Amino acid sequence: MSMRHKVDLVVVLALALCAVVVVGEYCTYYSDIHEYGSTATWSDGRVDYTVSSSGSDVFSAILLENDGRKPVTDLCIFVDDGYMDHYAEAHGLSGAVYLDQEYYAKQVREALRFRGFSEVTQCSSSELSDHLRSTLSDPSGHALMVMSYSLPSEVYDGTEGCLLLEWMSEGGTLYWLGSEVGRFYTDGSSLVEVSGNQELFFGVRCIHDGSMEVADTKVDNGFTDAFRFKNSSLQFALDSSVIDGAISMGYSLDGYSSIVFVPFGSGQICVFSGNFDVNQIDDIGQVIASGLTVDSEISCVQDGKVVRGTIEGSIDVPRAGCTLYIYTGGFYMNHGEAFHG
Amino acid sequence: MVDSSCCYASLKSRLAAIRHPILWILVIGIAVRLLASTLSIVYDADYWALVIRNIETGEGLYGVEGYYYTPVWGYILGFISAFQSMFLDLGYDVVRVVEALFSEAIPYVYFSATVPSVVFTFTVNLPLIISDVILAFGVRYLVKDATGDDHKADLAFAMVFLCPLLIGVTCITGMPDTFAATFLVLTVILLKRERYLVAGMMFSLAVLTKLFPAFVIFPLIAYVLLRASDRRRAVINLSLAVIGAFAMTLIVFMPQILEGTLEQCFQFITDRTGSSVESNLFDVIAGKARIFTYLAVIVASIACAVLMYRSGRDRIEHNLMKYCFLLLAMCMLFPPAPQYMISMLPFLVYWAVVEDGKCMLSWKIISFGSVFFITTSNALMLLPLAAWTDLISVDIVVGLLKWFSAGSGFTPGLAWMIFGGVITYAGILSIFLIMFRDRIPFGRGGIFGRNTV
Repeated sequence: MSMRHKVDLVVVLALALCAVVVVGEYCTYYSDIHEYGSTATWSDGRVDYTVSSSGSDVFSAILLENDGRKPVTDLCIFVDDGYMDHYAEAHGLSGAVYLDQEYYAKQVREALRFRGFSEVTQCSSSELSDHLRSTLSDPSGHALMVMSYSLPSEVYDGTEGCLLLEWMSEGGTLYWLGSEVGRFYTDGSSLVEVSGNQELFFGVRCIHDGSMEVADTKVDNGFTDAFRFKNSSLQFALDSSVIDGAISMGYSLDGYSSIVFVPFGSGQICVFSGNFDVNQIDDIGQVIASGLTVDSEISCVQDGKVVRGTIEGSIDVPRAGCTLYIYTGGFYMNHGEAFHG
Repeated sequence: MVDSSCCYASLKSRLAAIRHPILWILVIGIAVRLLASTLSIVYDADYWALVIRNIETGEGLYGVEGYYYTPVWGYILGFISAFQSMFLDLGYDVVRVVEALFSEAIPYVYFSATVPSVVFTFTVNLPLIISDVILAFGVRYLVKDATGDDHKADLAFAMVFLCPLLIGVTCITGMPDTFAATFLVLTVILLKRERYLVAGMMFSLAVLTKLFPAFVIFPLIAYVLLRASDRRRAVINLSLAVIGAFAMTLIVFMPQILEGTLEQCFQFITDRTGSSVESNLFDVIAGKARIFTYLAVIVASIACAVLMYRSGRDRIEHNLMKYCFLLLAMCMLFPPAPQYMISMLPFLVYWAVVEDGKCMLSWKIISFGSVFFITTSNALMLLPLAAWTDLISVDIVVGLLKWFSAGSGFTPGLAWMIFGGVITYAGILSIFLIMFRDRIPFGRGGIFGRNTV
């Protein structure tokens, strides 16, 4: 008598579904299915670039003129280890939003990593002063990101002569998010409120209060479309219309914009408005990785699509010192890289 | 040259020859789903686009912000992403509709002005639609198995596949609850067929897609133990199921275990059960109520398993379906959300068709209410068409949305949502009233009549 094994179709179906999940897991974590790349070669009067993708992706190549200002090439993220000590007090006084310092620093680091920006470090309250002093002789190209509501008094004490303001005057870049710029500093175990902090940093009162408000207009100077900025929340945004030399990007309402660059001596301040949000993280990634500065102007934007291969292109370069930023994936970009000429 | 009138006549005669109702239900259901996919709520579709981007950058599911569930649905998105990358030429993008930015500040709702392309939404919805088909066939199998009646089985198929709730959650909301329901139904079928190892694997996938199937674990264990001919066989069968579930769980969590980031897979629990930092008193109460509900369901699940075990093998299939149905219905008491009810839907349909026709009323109420509940974003559902096609202008959509949902006070949108929520919740409550009508004062001979179960 011969034995016949009848195939159980339900089992086959169940195993097929398991296979879909397992193959999906492999593709998510272990395969090289998603590969992207870009190159740029600067020559006399033009830059030749290539963009490659293992899939089907839109891409943008943006040529920026920075008017001689050096783009940021390394970033230090201040992770406030005493954040929770005064958070409730700062929140009560200014509406500062809660940001998990370590988690947000990691998010920023990763957002920069896949945009080709890897020079990122972290420093705590006790290390911040040393970090700024180590670059004080020439801070241009160096940046500090603050996502806490206050800074230690060794760095910032609400006076023009403090280390932070001196460092910025000499060319340093300050990125600020999640609270009102310079409203507090921490002296020992107490939180000290600074009066006139807005005038100190920007010359005028120009910071949106901590209330939830959403922009209704796109800042129409080309940056928002070119970089596909996303965040429209305006908590602690700057009113760029009242600040000399400021440049705004993203989305705005009544002059307040989601991204605002302000010159400060030889340096600059960039404020990202809103709460912790994937849109905000992507905006931060685009701004820092592309080397945008307060003096940046878009010289040229080329958009296209690359399908499982490599595309070549070239752009005329008006003068030396430009930056070419290439990214693929469109709105949810999956690869970026900046090339400084 | 081909004669077109001849082709038409041939096609017409061929279609007329197809008499099996399942085929027509399938065709209609799929057509409705494809149409509904153009009317998606962009909030979740936007997140799936973000998750796929994160996968493409090599960050996996949890490396950067965007994915908040256990990994199974994320892996299916990974599969979709790989398929798109290797075979399709979508080059899709997402647009931020400036005119609709205001919608993101409307209280009580989750609206987004970030709109993925219609093509992208189709590619994500396709696996969900396939899951719907498997789910409907699964319920049909259970009904046929219990009754031997093809007509009842076809009715059950239609009640699942054409249910507005399932169509809405799959195609308009774009949530993966259909997978959890499909995996759970397949678990039950496999247990009935004594395929314990694979049943365990399916159960693991069901729980790791959406948590709700976990609450029926104790009746399922009781079923496995009772089905066996002797104690030794019972232990072996249960062990096989446990091994299957454990192995699949291990496979699913392997990347996170190796990375040491397992806790990130359970953010949805800490973020939604009240243990995270709540912003107001309502959040605190809602969080605690959710914990209380789930604890109560766990206790009820154990009690159901004990009752089932004590009943012995007599009416074992009946008891399994009854307790699974009741426990999942309990989970829906708080918080009420349309997508959650998908886990319960197959058991509701089974019960209405096989055991108690009065539960048809619950199905009707839930189906009716869910139409409102799922379309809370109303005009915003037209935004993908407005942003990506010329069929309707963005200004018209935004104008409708402003009238419907924006502004302070009691907007039409809020009334719409509350109405849908109340009706849907009434449908959930009606399940208990019908199931226990013999035990409530006005039940016997009252509005619901005598229990026929």
